[in-house]
Amino acid sequence: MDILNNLSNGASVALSASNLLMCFLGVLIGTLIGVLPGLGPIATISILLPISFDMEPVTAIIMLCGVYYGAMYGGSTTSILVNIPGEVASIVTCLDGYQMARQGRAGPALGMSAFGSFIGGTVSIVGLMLVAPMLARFALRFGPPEFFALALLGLTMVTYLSAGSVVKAWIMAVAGIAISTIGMDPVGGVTRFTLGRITLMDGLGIAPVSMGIFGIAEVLTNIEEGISRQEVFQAKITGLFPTLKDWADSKWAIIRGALIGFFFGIIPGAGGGITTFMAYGVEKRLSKYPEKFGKGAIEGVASPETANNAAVSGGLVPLISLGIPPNAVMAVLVGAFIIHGIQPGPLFIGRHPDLFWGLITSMYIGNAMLLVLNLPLIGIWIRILKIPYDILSPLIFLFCFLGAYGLNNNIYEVLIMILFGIFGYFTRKFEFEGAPFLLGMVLGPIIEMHFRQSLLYGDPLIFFKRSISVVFLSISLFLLITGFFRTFKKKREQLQRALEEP
Amino acid sequence: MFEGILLKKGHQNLIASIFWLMIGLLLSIWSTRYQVGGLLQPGPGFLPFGLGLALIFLSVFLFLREAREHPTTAHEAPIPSLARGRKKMAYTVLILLLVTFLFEKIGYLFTIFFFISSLMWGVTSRGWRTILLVALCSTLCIYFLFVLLLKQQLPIGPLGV
Repeated sequence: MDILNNLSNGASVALSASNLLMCFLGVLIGTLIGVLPGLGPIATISILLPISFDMEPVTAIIMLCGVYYGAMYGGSTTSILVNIPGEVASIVTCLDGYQMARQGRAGPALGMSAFGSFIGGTVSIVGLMLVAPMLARFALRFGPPEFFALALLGLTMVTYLSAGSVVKAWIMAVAGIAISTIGMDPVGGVTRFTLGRITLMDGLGIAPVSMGIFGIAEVLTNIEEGISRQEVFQAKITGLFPTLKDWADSKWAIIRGALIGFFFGIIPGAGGGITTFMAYGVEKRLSKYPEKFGKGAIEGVASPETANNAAVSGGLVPLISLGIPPNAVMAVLVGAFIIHGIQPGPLFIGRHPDLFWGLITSMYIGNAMLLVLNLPLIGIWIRILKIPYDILSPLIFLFCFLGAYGLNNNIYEVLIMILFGIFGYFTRKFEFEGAPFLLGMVLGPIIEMHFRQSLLYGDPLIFFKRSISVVFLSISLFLLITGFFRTFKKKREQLQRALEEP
Repeated sequence: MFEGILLKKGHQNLIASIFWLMIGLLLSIWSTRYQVGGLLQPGPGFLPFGLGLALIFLSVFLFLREAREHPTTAHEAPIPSLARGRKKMAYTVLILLLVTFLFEKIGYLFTIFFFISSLMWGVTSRGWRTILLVALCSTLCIYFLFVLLLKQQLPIGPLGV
């Protein structure tokens, strides 16, 4: 009954005219940037942050979350029609989606992707609604040592699950924490590493840094590599509604995709990207016809597309109930919460029930909007896909530029964004990932504050004397050791292969 | 020479590890300016000092690993040269920095027009008519979207625009 009451209160928030409009705008912008390769949800949410300043907190969060799950919908369109993933989470969709398009089945691929996304999104919101309050109640037992250990675990997970080298991921995470120490010390109020600049007294903002690392760096790389639009699928797209056979083939893929997406989305570092690979892998392994995968199997579209949308709500669970962002998009969302004077964590749902239940209800509405919007608008997305990249790239720069300036009407924010853009460009070239850096930057103050507060107990071994903290630290240590061993093993295999080659 | 170095992955990691080693050293030395303290009473310099040491450890680890495997990576096929694209990228960064410098001095309208036109001129092979048209349309769109619709305060130049 409680849930129904809360949902009804949430509906009264989400159905207000301004919130409905912003939810619509959020999912529309999200789909647009999902369709366009080169401007992901991280940079877009950062650009939209200054615009959200004048909004009510609930309206702003509804819009920014809409951008995130909207981008998951949009990413599949590019994967299916152009064979270029709009988002990391849509890479796997290219495998079977583009093959289906080449076989004249672009319509069912797009349709199944939209329905799968809708089902995955909706199922995972139910999960979020049930799991987040339970986890928040459990987290009320946490003190500074537990939060320190949890933040450390989050960071360890992110580095462990990074696509490349674990050592490089750790370097980026440590560098991110180091960057977060610029400005006022969270315990004593001492200013550090500011070079006497007033702009740096409050530290570096997450928005200009993320716009630089994920927006500017991406476009700089594309300009260097001379990316141009590939030919967009030209034939008329028909039959967007999947047939009964398509549904029969995809039903289990959708159910499994939703569960994998939600539960693995909760794990820090897994996010949309890894969950799609997992969902696809599971489907291929369980299929009676694994040889069909990669050649246009509709399950190969349904499963990852369901999983990446389910992972959005999964990612909101640790953010809302523990205050720990599990991926880079959520790290930027933490910035949005804090800008609006809201601290995510165990007390969040109790203190801001209107925001939590309003957001939950708006996500149900947003998912329905996306389903209704996406299929009829497919023609427009195709036309947008045809905009040449040499025209699009200056516009992306321009939006990043004005977005960074709009944060504080301060040109130094733009300069910070450009500098981190250059940094992001080089880290990409040298195969260092940006996500651990951004998460380190967000988790840095949490780690430092709780670490120093824990030591006020007067016992440096306090972290090993509290059971929850011990569990988190043990998992961290296990992941750290296995992560480094995995790197060694991989390198040894590479070395062996190189030596065996004639 | 720099380009040659950049083209091999093994060398890339060696250069990266030296860079991070420098950063680690800088961070640990700089953090001693603040009170570092100890485990019982950590000061504001404690975490940065620890992070500096962690960066030094990780970069040395990366360096040693790459140095040990260097003989096998030395014969790696070089990645095709991106010299032309790199020039375009450098030009883009230069324009971005120039625009940042000009933005508050000559106002947003002129800066945006200059930004789009100069960027397209350097990055694309399109004719000047298209470039001017795109620059003009973008400037007008920004004016309507950011100034009229979103009421964002953008800097005005000496001519009042």
